[in-house]
Amino acid sequence: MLQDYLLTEKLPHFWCSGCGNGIVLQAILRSIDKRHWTRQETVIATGIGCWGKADDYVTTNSFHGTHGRALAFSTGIKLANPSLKVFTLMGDGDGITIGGNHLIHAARRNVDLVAVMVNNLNYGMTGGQYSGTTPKHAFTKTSPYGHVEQNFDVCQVVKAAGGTFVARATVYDVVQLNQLIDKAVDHKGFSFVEVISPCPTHFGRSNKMPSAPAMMRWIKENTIPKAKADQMTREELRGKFVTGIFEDTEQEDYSTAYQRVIDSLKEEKA
Amino acid sequence: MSTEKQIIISGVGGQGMILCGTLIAQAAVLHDGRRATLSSEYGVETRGTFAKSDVIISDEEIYFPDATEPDLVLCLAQPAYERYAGTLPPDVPLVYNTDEVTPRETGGRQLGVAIDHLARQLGNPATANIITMGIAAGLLDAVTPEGAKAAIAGFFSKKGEKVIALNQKAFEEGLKIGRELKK
Amino acid sequence: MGELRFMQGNEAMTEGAIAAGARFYAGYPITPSSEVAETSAIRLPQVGGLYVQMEDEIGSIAALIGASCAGKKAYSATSGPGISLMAENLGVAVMGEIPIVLIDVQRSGPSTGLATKPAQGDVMQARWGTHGDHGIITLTPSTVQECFDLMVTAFNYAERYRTPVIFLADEIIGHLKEQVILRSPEEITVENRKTPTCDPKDYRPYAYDGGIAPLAAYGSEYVFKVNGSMHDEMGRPCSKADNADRVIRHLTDKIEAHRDEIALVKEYEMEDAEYVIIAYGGVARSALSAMKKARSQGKKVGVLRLITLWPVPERQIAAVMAKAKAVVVPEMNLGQYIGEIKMRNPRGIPVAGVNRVDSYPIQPAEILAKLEEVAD
Repeated sequence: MLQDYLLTEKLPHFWCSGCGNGIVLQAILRSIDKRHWTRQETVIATGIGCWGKADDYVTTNSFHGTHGRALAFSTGIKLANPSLKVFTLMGDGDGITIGGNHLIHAARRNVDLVAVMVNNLNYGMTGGQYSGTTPKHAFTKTSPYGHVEQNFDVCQVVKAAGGTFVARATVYDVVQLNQLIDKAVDHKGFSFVEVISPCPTHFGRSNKMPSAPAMMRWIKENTIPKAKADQMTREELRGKFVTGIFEDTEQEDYSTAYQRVIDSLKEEKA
Repeated sequence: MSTEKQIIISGVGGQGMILCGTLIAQAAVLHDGRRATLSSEYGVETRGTFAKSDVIISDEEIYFPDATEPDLVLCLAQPAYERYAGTLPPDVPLVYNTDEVTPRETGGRQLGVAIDHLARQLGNPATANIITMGIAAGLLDAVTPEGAKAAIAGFFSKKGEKVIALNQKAFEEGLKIGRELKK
Repeated sequence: MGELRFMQGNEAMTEGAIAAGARFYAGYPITPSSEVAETSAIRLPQVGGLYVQMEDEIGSIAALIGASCAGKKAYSATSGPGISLMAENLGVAVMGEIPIVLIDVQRSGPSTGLATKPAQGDVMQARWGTHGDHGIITLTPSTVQECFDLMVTAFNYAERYRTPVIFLADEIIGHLKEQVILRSPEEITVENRKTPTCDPKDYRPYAYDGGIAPLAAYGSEYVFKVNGSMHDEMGRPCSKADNADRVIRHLTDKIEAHRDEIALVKEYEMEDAEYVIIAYGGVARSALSAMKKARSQGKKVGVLRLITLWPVPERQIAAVMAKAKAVVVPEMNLGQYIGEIKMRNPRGIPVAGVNRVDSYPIQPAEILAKLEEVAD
């Protein structure tokens, strides 16, 4: 039962109304439940931020570390015990801004875990400052005159770094979100799902979308499925959220490769 | 205290001084049953700047591992020679590599050996540090030749009999020179 | 029976870690510690362990903490610049009470400093490198044998007290080669963490009522939360004032209250010593040479060699301060530990430092000169 994975005594959660975090957490827990993975064999590791609080609400093993380092902690957990089912939950601050170095290297190493980055386009927990995914010209508490920097296309970064499963969803399309999380969970190797999620309290309020419906509408209107996006120019895609699977390839994961080294040394000895 | 021997092997990075020192100290510990330390000084660059190894061999516990009162100093390159020439008590031999070092009159006991030339004659310039090891063993009763050759055999074991034999020969050559110089 | 070897300090640390049961290394190479990484990369897979080179020291210590939560004894080796980067997650190991061992082979600083030259400039960094009140254990070796033996102790302390332990070596000892006996399993005592035995639903990973709570491993029947934020005894976030007070006092007391079990020293010629050199790490060897020379001249000089730096060996230092006529404290820094001695000096005897930061080891002669100065 899905409820078995929710620490109900900690509910209601502290996320604002209109926040997408609950939707993403539900998709992840549903996926664990579908596979009947036990709380004992599952570890949910989080960073710091609104999404980084997700571990508070789960009954599985959990690890709550420092800002941006969740993937590095997870790497240790997974490599120390490859039989564990490891989920790494990061925000855009964690995942690509302060923790970008860990992200590209975890992707390159092909550590077999599921990384879910909720991208709400700004730092929600600290009051709405810009992050590495805040779009150009957007207003935040620290870009009061409009943002002058370019934002990352995080999926392209992870793909270029060698991620073997890379996808983007939005919380507007929950069916697609569930499908992509499921595919990521079944993929052997480093699986990365970016989920575009509204932050009406901060990003929305600073950008004339102060309500949940307004933000959802904005996400919906700016979302383009990958198949369609493939036919569009770079200029036409500026500021759009392209959803779908960008990479899905088989490649030996880190633990399997390292185990071969250990086994070969045993043979040498024997 | 009287049994303690201190050797400085100096040159520039890349001349194999640490290996030379390690094999001497290893021979003392593993084959002769004595105590030994090896401490090294080197720069950030792997090649070309001053570097040295201090070897101390003793029957007692060795505390400070730097050779503060050396019994022998070997200088394989000019920067090393410049550092030690003229700084040693008159009875402490300073052996320098005539192929790399231009000596000057400083007093004291300076002994020139064409180490690089000898190594080339043996067919491999890389044996210079093993010749140096032999010179040290011949000049000072710090390690037994058997121990030194066993340490050489151990180090080159993966490279095969030929390489071991070559290096043991290099050691013998050095040993002969060292014993001559001692007279 | 152990095996006699001629080995570098850094390599002996790797062997000590493996003997202690360590099977996980995550690190980032840095002079003068890199030989620990290199030998670990060779040795760990041979014993079924794992070596992973991370993208930086921030990630390295994070991976160690994760591996330890999954039940592995984990270690890394670095130098001062790496400890600076690890400082953030060192706090996670403290707050999460996760055993790990960090080797710091000290080099000359600050910043990149002189990468290949020795120093003891990280003594205070080891104590207060991460923010917030906490206790920490720091051990420092003076011989290659100790690089092996004391490493086993470092892991034992980490496991026993659920804490990060800093193994504070220096370039002198890390790169020194000398004889070492690689002890066989029968010759050493290896402690493993206390794991829970209660009903899994009663497991409280941060229960402080019984001293140090048992630590389960991810994947066992015990499900648990590890939390670097302020947490209750279940590892759930908790912002209550009395809880914060209890946790921070616990993190300090669990080390400080066990000071006498943790504090290791070695005494040399101390029975009749009038003048005492208090030294640690590579510099202790200079101190011992100075002592030997002084004794040969009939001077009553002894050495108190500190093996544990943090927590401060109170009792052993107090014994010296109660008896000695004067104390000399040589350090390859500008006096990071001498303050600890000076604040434990009820009789007001002379306490003099010998300090060197020019990247050269302190010479025994310098210590002898200082001994003569304080004896006047």
